[in-house]
Amino acid sequence: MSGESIRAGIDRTLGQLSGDVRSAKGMFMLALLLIAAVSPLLVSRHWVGIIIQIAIYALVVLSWNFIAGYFGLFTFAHAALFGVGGYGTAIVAAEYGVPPMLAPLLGGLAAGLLALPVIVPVLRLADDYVAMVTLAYAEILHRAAIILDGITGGPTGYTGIGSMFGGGQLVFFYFVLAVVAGLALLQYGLLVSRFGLIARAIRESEDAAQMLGNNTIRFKTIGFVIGSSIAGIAGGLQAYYIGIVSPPMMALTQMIDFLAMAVVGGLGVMTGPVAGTVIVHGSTEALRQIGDIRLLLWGILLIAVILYFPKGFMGDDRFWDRIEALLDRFRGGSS
Amino acid sequence: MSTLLETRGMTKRFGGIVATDDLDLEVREGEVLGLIGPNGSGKTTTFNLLTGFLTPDSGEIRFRGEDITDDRPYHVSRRGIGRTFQTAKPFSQMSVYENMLVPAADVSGGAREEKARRILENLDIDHVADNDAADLSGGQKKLLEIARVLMLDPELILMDEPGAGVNPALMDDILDRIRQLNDQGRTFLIIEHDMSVIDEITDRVTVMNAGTAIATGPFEEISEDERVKNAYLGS
Repeated sequence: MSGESIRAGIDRTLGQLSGDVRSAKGMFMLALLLIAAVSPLLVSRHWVGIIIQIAIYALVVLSWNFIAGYFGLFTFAHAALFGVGGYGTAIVAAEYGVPPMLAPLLGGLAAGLLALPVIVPVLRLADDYVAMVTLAYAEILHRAAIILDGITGGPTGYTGIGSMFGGGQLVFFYFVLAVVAGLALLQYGLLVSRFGLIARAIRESEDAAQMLGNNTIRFKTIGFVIGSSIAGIAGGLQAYYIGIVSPPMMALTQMIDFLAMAVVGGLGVMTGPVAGTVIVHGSTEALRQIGDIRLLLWGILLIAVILYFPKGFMGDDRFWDRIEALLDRFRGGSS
Repeated sequence: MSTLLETRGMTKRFGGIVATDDLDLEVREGEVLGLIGPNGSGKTTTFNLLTGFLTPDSGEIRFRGEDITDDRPYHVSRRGIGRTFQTAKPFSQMSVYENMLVPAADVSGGAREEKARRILENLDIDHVADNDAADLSGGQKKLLEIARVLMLDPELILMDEPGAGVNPALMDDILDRIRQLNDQGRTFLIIEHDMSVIDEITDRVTVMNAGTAIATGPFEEISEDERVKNAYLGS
């Protein structure tokens, strides 16, 4: 890619972004980002920690949505690759002394590399079969993390990763926020480009997309590797956040949590994963004080969202059109 | 007329079923060739073989004299062969205009957009450019498929049942477009069950039965052919 085409891509992304942030959904996202940015002034350390966790999970769900929501490849290997990124980061940092700010990038590389073996069957299969083969692959990675205890620390996990920024929560908080925002912007830039258009075409009809001269295998491979690598980087941030990487990070239950966040937020909508993660993880934490009854309430919340927003909270255009109309009235009144 | 596309001895088996059997097919430059035959005679399999969705077990496919037997669909398309599908496959969650930007045309940026607008205008569907493709009528969806294919300037266009799911008034419109594009020098290979359409639009017709070509010639000629009558009547 030439410098000129990268510049043109950045210009196009910023041009599109300046329009999108003025929409109701864009303003909602901007408001969430601003609230997150000032939150250390307003809430306790405990809640700043929860916002860090939401930001990391949002990055994982964003990258899953990049693969599943746009290309239509419903991978179940994403939590496992999130874990691979965590282990990769922890191992290069602890064993090889890689600096903390660089280590998550290598974790992302590890996840990208370990995504490659499953891409071959994924490219040949469609729909439910993609889910099945990636589920099996995820279980292989999960079991490997348990069995290979000489490398991974086995069932108890890998410790000794150290901390980022000397353990200062506030700097780490802003670092995570910046990384998540930067990688979200990268995905946004790709999705508003021709790359995103072809991804959506593949999701709808790969045959037609191919017959229109597009090497769909190349697009799907690139999409899968980018999405998996970003999950790996998120895994690296998670490793520094909790100070341990252990097999549950790669388990199916973790994957199901990510799926719940994606579905609640809305598939194939860039803003969906952020809203979904805030709603699902935020409510889980907010309800923690009331004990186990929170699981019941959480279930009711999930059913309510699915009933009233079947396309997810951000995917329901009628709802957002109404908000847009209200905003227009406000804009009209203020001008 | 020189040969544009040909198959020699093209055979494809699915388990014990022979879908195309030693098939020889010739499409000449500038013609409209119809491909007809009873259900299950191997017409759509032939299209899938010609466009790289399937690879023949034996035999070869040549386009402009070059061997394209093992090409993948996007290679075939880039060589100058376009295809529309039996069930129209518009990208329904995109606008009509966005659909036009999916083809890997050899123009980019503003030139691509300009070309898309021009083609939509020529096919008289520019007034729905900003509509979701899902909202188009059956006929408009077929026109959109043709429009998308034209973004790649194909020499040869393969159409699988252009009349399926289209009301008669719009069918006339589609036939006019095919004639117009043929006058501009594009070659067509068309599968169609409606014999009045075949009679009206084709220069020659190849009849398939049990995976092989049993007759080729002008429609009036082959419609009198005993082998063709037997194939359709099953006697």
